[in-house]
Amino acid sequence: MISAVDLSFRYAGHKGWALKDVCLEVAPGECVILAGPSGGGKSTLAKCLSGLVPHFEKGVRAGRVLHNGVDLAELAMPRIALGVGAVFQNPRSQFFTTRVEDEVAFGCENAGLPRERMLRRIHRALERFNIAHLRQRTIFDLSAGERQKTILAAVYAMGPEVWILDEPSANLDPASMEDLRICLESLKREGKTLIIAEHRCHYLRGLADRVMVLAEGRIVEVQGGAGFFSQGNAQMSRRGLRWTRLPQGFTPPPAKRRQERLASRGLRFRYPGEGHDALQGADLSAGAGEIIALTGANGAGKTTLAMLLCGLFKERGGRVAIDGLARKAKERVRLCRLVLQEADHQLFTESAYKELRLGLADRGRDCGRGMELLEAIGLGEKAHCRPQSLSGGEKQRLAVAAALAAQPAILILDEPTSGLDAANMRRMGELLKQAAGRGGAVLVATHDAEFIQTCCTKTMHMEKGGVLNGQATGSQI
Amino acid sequence: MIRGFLCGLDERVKVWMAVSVSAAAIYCVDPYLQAGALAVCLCLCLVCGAKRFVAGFLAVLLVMAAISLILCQVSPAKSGFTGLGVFYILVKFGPMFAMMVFIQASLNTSRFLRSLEVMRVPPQWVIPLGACLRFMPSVAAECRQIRHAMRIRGIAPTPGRLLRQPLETLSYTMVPLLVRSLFIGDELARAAVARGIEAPGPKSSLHEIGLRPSDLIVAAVWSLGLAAMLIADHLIFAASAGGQP
Repeated sequence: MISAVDLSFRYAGHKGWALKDVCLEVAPGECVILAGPSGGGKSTLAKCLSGLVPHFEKGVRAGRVLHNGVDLAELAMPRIALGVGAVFQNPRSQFFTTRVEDEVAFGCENAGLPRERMLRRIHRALERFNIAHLRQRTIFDLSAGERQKTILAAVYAMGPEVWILDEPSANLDPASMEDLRICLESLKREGKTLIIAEHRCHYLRGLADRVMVLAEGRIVEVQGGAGFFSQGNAQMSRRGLRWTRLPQGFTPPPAKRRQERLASRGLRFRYPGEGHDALQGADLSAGAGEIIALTGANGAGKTTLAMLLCGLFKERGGRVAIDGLARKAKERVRLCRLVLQEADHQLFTESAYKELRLGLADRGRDCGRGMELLEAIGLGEKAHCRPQSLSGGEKQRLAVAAALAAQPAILILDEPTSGLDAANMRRMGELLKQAAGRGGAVLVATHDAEFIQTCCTKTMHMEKGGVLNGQATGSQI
Repeated sequence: MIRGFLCGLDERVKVWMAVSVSAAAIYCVDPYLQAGALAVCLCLCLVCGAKRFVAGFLAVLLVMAAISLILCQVSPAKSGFTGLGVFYILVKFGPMFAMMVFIQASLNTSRFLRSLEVMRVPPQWVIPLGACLRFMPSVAAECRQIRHAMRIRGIAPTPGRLLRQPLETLSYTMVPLLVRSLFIGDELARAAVARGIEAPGPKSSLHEIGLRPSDLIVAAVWSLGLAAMLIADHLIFAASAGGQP
């Protein structure tokens, strides 16, 4: 059993408590979801339960976390790792080696297991998560879903009873999410204790025994899994949480006749050194005021299409027209703006205001537009803060606002809601609606069905490097 | 088959090959011997599948050779400082770049770290080295993303921009790179700690660690070859200096 008794934690250099007087008990074999808004304390609680607080994170800790009656603060981290396994949000930055088999072996090697026993465990873990065929592959060639399974296998090989997972679905497409669910189900059947911090919990329906909602560092609500998932989406929205059931299809708003701003015909693109085209004749069209969701599995070509449309990649064949004129890649870079998935890649200056000034079409003359945009995204008071010190949601909004400052004809976003809570996701939707309202066309590559329903006017589904005609179905989203 | 043999060599032998040939090529004076060392290193890269690097490197080399030939015709006095100079630097330092690519393509990080541990290298050195080796490909991917973001914002580090606004451009490049590097380093360390990297006792290894006869033969042949190259260079230099080494 794992439990927390009057647990509080304050990060070094921070004024407020990230966790305050948290008490919980999780029985062996139980599956508990930690839900709630960003900054509520989910990840901090996950770190406390996995022993990283106090062994890795610096700060002030009060209270205790007990695993089988022993306080984790009194055990060394290598010892804790054998009983409590931790899986974090981004599998890519959790790999310490470069080959799947080595990665799965990593924890066992640290524990000093004899080679024969280690080989048996590795074999079992790879078979358990159906990745035995990836054994010799380098981690850089894996899909997001395969990476997630590799990290699960690596933790499984160490044999912990308790699993702490922090937003394991953040980078996954719907099919990989379903795979993750199957993996978690099988772990639960084996009697493992699962504690999952997650915004998007819809895929955990039927798996969770209890849901704990955290806000401002405290557990504000505990519900049974069945009760939590029986609530409607409207009720979840009112409570500031992500939907618990995905819409079965996409209901677009009434169609209007719109002036075409972006059109691509027969776009083809091949990455250097690859033997086949990543894009195989992608056609699409976007009108003024439209927000189009580009859906499809990881690897379907969504990001490649986004890069190509905004001119970062040069097409091998086909054409892209903006406002009726065929445009070369160089011209498209000027006319379009792309917001990448990771906000930190696109924040360059020392204040939020300067970030927007850098984005303005005419950098010399601001005329108050920078501040106006900052106010519009709710960051007026943080105009002079370092962009890097903002929260994840704020950074993402700032990156979008910096792109909008240039008043682009076409705005393209790559997975803008990955890791965002309900409130930040809705704010992002509002921002895109404003951008589209000014007559621009907005294209969003996303897996987030809730976000699509919140703000998109149309969906297009991609498969194997091509855009399929018509609306994406519920399962495709 | 040759690729399998090369990649299967003990990691310490691979690192020795890389370090020794780079140092020898820099130390050597004779351009023919340097070119020979470069050719061997490029062959190793080819065997390990780094065809694009080899093609690109040879293309740059050819362009530089052509430029220096033209300059020799047009303005012999300046050719030494421009095309020929760059060509010479590429040949001299080429083995080092090529062996970095070879190591990147063939090194098994896990086996290398375990080998170092077997050699009783202190963990304070082994763990950061492992993190660095794992970190490098991530930084390359981060740089690509940052370059995309800069291009789309119109602040790409082009030669013109670097000349006009060097500090600003450098800061736009370094700020996101540093922030991401810190973030990734932190995540990597957290994940490694959560999987027991700090265990104090002896660690085991999935791989058989130890030098096999084939490793010893390759290391010996390689070392003898380099020794022969250095002696030949010394003799050539002595001959060209009128018998005064």
